[in-house]
Amino acid sequence: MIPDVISPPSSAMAQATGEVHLKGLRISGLRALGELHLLKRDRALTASGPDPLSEVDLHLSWHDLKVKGLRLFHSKKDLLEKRGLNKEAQLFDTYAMMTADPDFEDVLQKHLTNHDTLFVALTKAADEFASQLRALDNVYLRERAKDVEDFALEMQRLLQGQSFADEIHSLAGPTVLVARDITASEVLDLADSAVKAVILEQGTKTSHVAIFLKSLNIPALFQVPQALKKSQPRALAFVDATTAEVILNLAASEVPRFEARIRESEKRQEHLRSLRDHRLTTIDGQIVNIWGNAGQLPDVTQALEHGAAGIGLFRTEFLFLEQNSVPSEDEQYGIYREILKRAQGKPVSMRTMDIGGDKEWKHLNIEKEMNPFLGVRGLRLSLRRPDLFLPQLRAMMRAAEFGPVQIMVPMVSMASEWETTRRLMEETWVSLNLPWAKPQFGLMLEVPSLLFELPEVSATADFISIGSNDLTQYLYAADRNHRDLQDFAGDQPRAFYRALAIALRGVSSNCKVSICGEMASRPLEIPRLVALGIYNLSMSPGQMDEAREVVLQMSVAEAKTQLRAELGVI
Amino acid sequence: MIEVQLELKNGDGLHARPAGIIAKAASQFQAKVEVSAKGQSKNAKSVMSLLTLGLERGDAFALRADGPDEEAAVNHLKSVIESQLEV
Repeated sequence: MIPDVISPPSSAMAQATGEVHLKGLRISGLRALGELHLLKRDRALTASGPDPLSEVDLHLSWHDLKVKGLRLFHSKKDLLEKRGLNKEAQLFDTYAMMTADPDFEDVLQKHLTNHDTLFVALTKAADEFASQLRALDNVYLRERAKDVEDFALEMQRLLQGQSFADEIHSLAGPTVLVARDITASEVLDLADSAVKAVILEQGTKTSHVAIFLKSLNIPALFQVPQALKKSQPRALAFVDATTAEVILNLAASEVPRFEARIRESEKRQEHLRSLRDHRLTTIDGQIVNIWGNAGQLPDVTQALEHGAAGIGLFRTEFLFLEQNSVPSEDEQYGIYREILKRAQGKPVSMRTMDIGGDKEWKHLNIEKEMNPFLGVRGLRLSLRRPDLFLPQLRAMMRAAEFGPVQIMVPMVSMASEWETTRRLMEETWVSLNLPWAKPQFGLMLEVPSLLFELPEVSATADFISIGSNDLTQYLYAADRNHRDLQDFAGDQPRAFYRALAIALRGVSSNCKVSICGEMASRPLEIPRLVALGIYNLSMSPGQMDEAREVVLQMSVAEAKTQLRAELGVI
Repeated sequence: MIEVQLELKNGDGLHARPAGIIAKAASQFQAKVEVSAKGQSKNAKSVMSLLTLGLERGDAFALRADGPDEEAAVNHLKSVIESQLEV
């Protein structure tokens, strides 16, 4: 084939097409190349709009729309539930209920009787309810106004036959979607579409949209300033989510270079994926287990998909955080059971609530403290609040019917504290009189004083998990959330390794040692940790593939020599 | 007509999920069912109307039913509100 134009040197071309580099917030995925598709639209509800159905019988058209709406919302709900996103699925349950709401329908009919078109009637009816909601005192309830408006927008789209799904599925080749924002409903239509990456000017890390993009593993950047303005429709763009960068309006001559980068990246991913099923050993034959950290149900599924040996840390705080109320024992039991079912027989370390610290817990009636990280946090709170702690322990023990459970307590400072806790757990287990295997009882090593109590503690604990984030913060007296103190311990955290090396000598051989902090996934730290005899590394699912590669290429003997030379440890 | 006085124990207040549970339960009955609080009465069969009440944890409200199956409606809804809304 003869090219239409002969490409000038790449730099000149880049100038001509206006190549633009923008940075954003990394949400999900790796790299992608595609044609830019711009969603330029006003997402606000408007009182005017074409109404193709205005000529036909109004009652019938609302009835038809209702049926379509219910079908759409139920199918999205099912899609989310299949992916284990049950909380997100509730949103569509709400939309479905709004579709069938008798009072909404009354208001709508009133406007239709006044000769408004269905499109306009939807806007007016939604606005009547939304404005009442916006006037409420309670912030959380006030936000429901947006749900009502989003619901009406979805219905208007259906009415106009402008389904987002149709727009997305009409895209021919690989596409990079650019928009100000997209809704939780729209993002679901990206599954199995030509959209290979998403760039948003807005968007937040914890939104439904972000959660779903992660679940779809679509490369996505949020909060990319002026992305729409700088994008030329149909030009090419390269998105590298790993560096949180997008290059817009690529010159055609640059394409092969980026295609090569993506191929390389895909090949590497494929290689890394192929390692998931292997028994993981170092060059000199030491078995190392990679576990997953999880804070939500979908993380458990994701960790297993990434070949986790089990869940090394399940943070239970979200149960208490998101509900703004204390979950009952039965409610907790339901969730723990679901975690174990998803873990498919692999062990799960459930950490009892690490509450206190920097978060506000209005519904738990916890006092604000001057120095919350040194206050009544984690186990300290649990031991003072048996009304919260015992139901959690019981729920975990009951759930152990569905898989091996390791109950792990955070923020232990002294052997005596552990002893009290262990007895409490034993008593609770005995009182329940359950016929299945007893959970293992263990604790987090994250308070420096505990480093010097390990001989006593490890004599009765089944396992110890090093919480390196907090251990480092407390050891170095440096707030890990402080903007100016990031990576305070640096690349050579000698004090950390010396403290650990000395402390681990005192650990009883019956007590398993693992690590579940961020360090466990850093390529530089993995050989050092393994050299110290820590063979269980727990990390977030996205980091497991690379960690596995590090383990496969290291030798314990070499790592020990290096640790000794670099840091004077061992 | 039958009326009972209740208190909302739900931690987040009457948000979409609990309002949906109430509306679904109320819709099973022929009787007109209303929730009254802060000087307003709203149709208990409508999620959107229930939301606009802005009920928060600890708020008192009246549950009222009027119609052929009013007694069954009040009894059922009372038990739903007391048992199925998360505390």
